[in-house]
Amino acid sequence: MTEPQAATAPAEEHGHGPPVRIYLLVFGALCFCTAVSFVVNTTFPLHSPSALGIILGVAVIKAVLVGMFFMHLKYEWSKLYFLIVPVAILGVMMMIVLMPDIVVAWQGDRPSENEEPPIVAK
Amino acid sequence: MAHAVLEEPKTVHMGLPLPNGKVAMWLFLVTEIMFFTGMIGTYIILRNGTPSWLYPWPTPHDVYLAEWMGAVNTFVLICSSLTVVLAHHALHKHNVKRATQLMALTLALGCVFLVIKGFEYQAKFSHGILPGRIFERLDGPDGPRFSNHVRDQLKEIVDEPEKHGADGNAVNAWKGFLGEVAALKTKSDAAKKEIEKELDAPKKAAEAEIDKLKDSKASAADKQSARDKVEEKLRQQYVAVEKKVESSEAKFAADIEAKRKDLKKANPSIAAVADSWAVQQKLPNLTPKKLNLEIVGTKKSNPHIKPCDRVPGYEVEEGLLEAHPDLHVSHAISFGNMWASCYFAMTGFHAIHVLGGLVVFVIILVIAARGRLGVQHERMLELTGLYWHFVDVVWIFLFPLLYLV
Repeated sequence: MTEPQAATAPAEEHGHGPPVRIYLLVFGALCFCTAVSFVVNTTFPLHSPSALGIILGVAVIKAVLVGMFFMHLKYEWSKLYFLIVPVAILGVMMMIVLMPDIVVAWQGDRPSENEEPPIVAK
Repeated sequence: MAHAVLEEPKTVHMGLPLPNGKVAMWLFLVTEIMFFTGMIGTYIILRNGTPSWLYPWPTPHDVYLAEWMGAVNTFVLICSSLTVVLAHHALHKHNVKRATQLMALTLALGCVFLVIKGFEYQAKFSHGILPGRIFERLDGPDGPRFSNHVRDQLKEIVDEPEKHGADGNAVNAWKGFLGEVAALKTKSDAAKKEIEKELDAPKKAAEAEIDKLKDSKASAADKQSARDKVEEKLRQQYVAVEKKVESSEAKFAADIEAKRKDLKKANPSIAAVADSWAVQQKLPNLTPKKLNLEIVGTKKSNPHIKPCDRVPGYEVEEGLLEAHPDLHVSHAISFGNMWASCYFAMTGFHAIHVLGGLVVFVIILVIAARGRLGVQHERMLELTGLYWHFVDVVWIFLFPLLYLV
């Protein structure tokens, strides 16, 4: 590789990641999180908002664990955040921008829970 | 002595304090983030935009989705993430053999993921869960297409009982039952003709009366009212006879139904075929929505019937799919096509990304097989690991969004 690193490569932690013990701990945490979300899904009632919150929160925790430890972001965040943060903002923004037209605009059409369904056809 | 020589400046590294490969890989990964948030965001928006009560989004049960398969796949990918990062670690420590073993394990786990995904897709295909192929609103042009499709499915079940769980004895009993039904139908037709013969005499009498009226000297209005009286009397006799025919046919139908229930009790393996046959007999009199209810069932405790499926006043004792959940009979799934599009787009693209990762693993293993794998490949392994971890993170989000929520 023809990188101008020569003898004095800039201080790189890449390759000097965390010890194996940390990897195994994170793996255990990920398995635990997966089990938690699966159990919450089976025990809570269908479409419960708290189940939704727990499951999505657990998903975010898992993603952060994988990113920080397996992808070494914990050690390289200062060098990479400028790529990741704008993209994450854009990703979320895209959803927010579409919400008024696709979600909010149709909310008035929802019948309330107790209404009799209209007779659409026999 | 202080040297006046300027110290050689440390080699200045242009740009980022990172190897080019890593920058490149991260640039690629953030474009992939955009790609997947595009699809996942669209799914979230579309799903939140559906009217949730009358036409609800399908539940995993409606679309034959097994959450446990998704959970196992999640575990498999997490394990493979661990093995790939350990492989990089091993190679960094100059342990080429260990690194090779771990890469092979990663490849194997990736293949397991794709195999399980294959089973999942097979389950969807076999039940007709494909974008554009699901019947949704039965009160439109989809209705008759649905009835025809179900008619073909029921015919396939009833004509081939061996393929639907029936053993030899049951098939013979079934053939016997069909023979009895044919005999009973002939009897019922004969009985119907007998009853209808009762009308011959009143009809002749009425005709004779009307003929007499033609020659009478009464006024036109009187003639008309007399004719009306005769026709009204005849009509009432028709109605009475029709009631008799109905009750006779109902008796025969009850006989057939009782025989069918006995057959089911004696030969449980033919139950699915017998129930399908019963629905088949009702088909000509069912609207598409009622047919759907016959398939799905209408009990209040049934969590899978949606408000949009209900027909006021129409109740079914037991739906075909309630009694036999594995039967391949279609039913209406509200927003099913939207679900299928989202599901196949997201998991399909994810599976393609997994396949791409597996190709790179194979390349690394080929290098290792040639004995050429060494510390100089540490960076390659690290970048491969980065890609694979990204694939894992995408699945970490896909799994709850598609399977659990």
